[in-house]
This record gives sequence, C-alpha cells and structure tokens, in this order.
Amino acid sequence: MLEKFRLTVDSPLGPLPNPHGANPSGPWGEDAASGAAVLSGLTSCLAVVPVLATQLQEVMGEIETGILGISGSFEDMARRAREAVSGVFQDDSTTAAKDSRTGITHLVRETRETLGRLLQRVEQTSRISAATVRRMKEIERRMNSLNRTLCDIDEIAKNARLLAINGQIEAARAGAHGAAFSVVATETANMAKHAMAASQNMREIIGTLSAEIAAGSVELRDRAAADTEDAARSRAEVNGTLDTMALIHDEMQTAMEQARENSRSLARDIGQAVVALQFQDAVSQRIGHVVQTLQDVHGAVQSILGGGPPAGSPPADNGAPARDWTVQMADRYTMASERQTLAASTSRQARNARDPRDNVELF
Amino acid sequence: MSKTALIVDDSTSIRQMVSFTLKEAGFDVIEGTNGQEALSKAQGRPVNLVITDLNMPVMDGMTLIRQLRAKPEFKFTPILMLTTESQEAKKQEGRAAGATGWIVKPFNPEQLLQVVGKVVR
Repeated sequence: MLEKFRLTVDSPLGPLPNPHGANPSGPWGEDAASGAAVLSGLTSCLAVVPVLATQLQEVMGEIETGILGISGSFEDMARRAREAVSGVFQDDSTTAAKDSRTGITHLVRETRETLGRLLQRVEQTSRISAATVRRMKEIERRMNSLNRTLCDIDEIAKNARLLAINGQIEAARAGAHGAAFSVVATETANMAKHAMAASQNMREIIGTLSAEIAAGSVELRDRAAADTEDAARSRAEVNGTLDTMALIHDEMQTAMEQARENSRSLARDIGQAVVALQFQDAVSQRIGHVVQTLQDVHGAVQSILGGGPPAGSPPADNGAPARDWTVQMADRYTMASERQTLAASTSRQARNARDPRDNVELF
Repeated sequence: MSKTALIVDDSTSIRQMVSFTLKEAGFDVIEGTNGQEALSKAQGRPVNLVITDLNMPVMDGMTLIRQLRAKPEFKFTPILMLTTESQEAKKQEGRAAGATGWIVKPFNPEQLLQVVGKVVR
C-alpha cells in the first residue's frame, strides 16, 4: 500500500490515488488501522522531500563552483596563450610585423649582394696586383738590360783609358811637339776614369732597385694570393652563415605559423568547452524547477494529510487536479527541453532535438 | 577607446563565460545579477551593449529592457536577450519590449561575437 503512495508522490503528474481504489467514502477508506499505517508511512516519506530538495540545491551549488573554477582556468589558459602568441608575433597582421618578415628576407639578399661586391673588389685588387707584378718583372728585365749596357760602357771606358796611356807615351816621344797631344791624352784618361766610376755607381743603384723591386714583387704576389684565398674562405663562411640564417628564418616562419594555428585551435576548443560548460546553467534551472515542484508536492500532500485543501497547487479546475499540476509545471518551465519532457510524459509525444544553429534571431 | 557591455544574468557561470568572451573581444564589462542591479550599475555610464537573461529574481529581463528603452541614452543601445527560453511568443514579447536580438543558450562564443559585431557599431 505504501509502495503505491511512493510511486505517485515521486511522479506528481496525477492526483494522489485513494489507496482503497475507487472507494470514495473517506480520505483513506474504511479501515482505520490501515489508514493510520498509510499516514505514518506517508509522513515518513514526506520528511525526506525537503532533504532531497536541499541535497539537489547543494549539488547544484557544488557543480556551479566547479564550473566556475574550470571556466576560470579556461580564461587563464586563453590569456596565457594570447600573451604567448602576441609575444611571438607582436600582432602578426601589423605592417611592422610584415615589414619585419620581408625585412629579414631583404637583409639576407642585401648581405649576399654586398658580399658579392666586396669579393669582386678583392678579386679586382688581386688582378691589379698581378698586373703590377708583371710590370715590375718587366722593369727588372729592363734593368738587367741596362746592366749589360753599363758593361759595354765599362769596356769602352777601359779602351779609352788604354788609348789615353798610349797617347801619352807617343806624346812623350814627340817631345815639345807632342805637349798638346799629351794634354788631350791626359783628359781622355780622366774621362775614362770618370765614366767607369759613373758606371759603377749606376750599377750599384740598379742592383739596389732590382733587389727592392724583386722583393716588392714577391710580397705583392704573396699578398694577392693570400687576399684571394681569404676572400674565397670569407665567401664560403658568409654564404654558410647566410644559408643558416635563411634556414632559421624559414623555421621561425613555420613555427610562427604553427603557433598561430595552435592559437586558433585553442580558441575553437575553448569555445566548444564554453558551450559544453553551459550545461550547468541549464541543469541548474531544470533542477531548480524540480525542487520547486517537489516543495509544492510536499506542501500539497502535507495539506491533504492534515485534512485541508491541497496547498502549493492551483485551485482545482473542473475537479481535475492532475491538469493543475501539469499546467503549473509548464508555466514554470523556461526551456523547450523541459516542455518536451513534460509533453512526452503526458501524451507520449516524441521529443524534438533543437538545431543549435537556430539559436540566434536578430529582430 | 574600448566599448562597454552590460551583462545581466543570475547565473555566475554564464556571466563569467559571457564576460570572458567579450573581454577577449576588447569590451569593458559591467555585470548585474538581475534587472534591478543592472539598472543601478548602468546609471550614468555609457553602455554600448546589453546582454541579458530573461528569467531572473527581483527584476526579469523583459522588464529590464522596457525600463532601459524608456531612458533616452538607451534608446538605440543594442540589447540581446540570452536565455534558455526559445518559445516564439516569448521572442515576440522581447521584440515588442525593444530587444535587438534573441540568443538561445547555450551560446557559442564565436557566434556570440559575430552577433555582437553585427549590432554594435
């Protein structure tokens, strides 16, 4: 008997049934003992209804606290992600960011061009050095030729001196008639002596110049060779550095694009999480409505047990309290899903799922 | 200068999520737990957008909209109803009260921002 009451109290869609079936003679039938037992059991059951309502309200409070914590965490995650991404990109869409990206590419290209020009100059200098070395070789060769000419002059001077000596001998034999010839022979001997001295001086100067030119030529050739070698090594090093720089730049671009995509993905995930977390608001409302109805049912049953009119429900409409409860619940509902559940429970209507894309309407 | 949004809902979690979404879009946010509190907080402050729930204690969203529309400074302010209620009759009532649009919960942040972008100039 008590079981019947439990069933009807748990489902307040219909009137409280008379435990004695269709017998309308009294609130609990003719069997006083049986009625007392029913009252006792029903009173005992009723006592838990406010507790259940409180339990539901507390559960909803706990769920809301949890949801607030999760939602706050999402907010922190989104903020940190935004800060991280903005730290990398500095708003990647800005003109400055675009200038920076193109600037790096431009810098690499400019550096390559500058390096190319520098190396061209080094190679040009090297070529000029080689030409200078060739000219110095030519000068050296001409100096050697000059040396040979000086040797000829020396030979001429020796012959002139010998001729002068013979002239002096012939002048002495001639006596007074050869005095003038003796003067010419003496002057010729002096000229030959001066010519030999001048030739010797020139040979020494040419020797010194030749040695210096030869040393300078070797030094210039060695320097030109070293410059060419350095230039080639520098070209390889700078090209390697620029290649690495370009590679790092490409990797950074890829990483930035990846970070951008991750940021977009995170925003989508957080958006979906925000939608999912709103279950708490809907559940809170539905449970709130259930709690209110439970409290109304509790009040109504208490009134009936106390012998008074049902409390917590609207006045009976044509003696059909079942309809009153349904209407009261429907008036309280704020969601289509609640109304669909009620309709499905009362008229076995199929529930219709709402299309989430239809949830916005601008007037 | 950033725009200001007034968010009115008795659910702390919904206020938090809407607030988070709008702050991400650059809005300054004022929050109210019911219509009465929202009216009080909006007093004398420039508000560029109102997003309100329908069913709230003390003062519901419909009453709030009517009272806001009665104020000259809110005559052209976009007011969006964000509610679990999806009944056509309620929507028409909201429209008559002066609501700019009606969004049924749960809302998608991206979609909410698209709607806000359409109504806030």
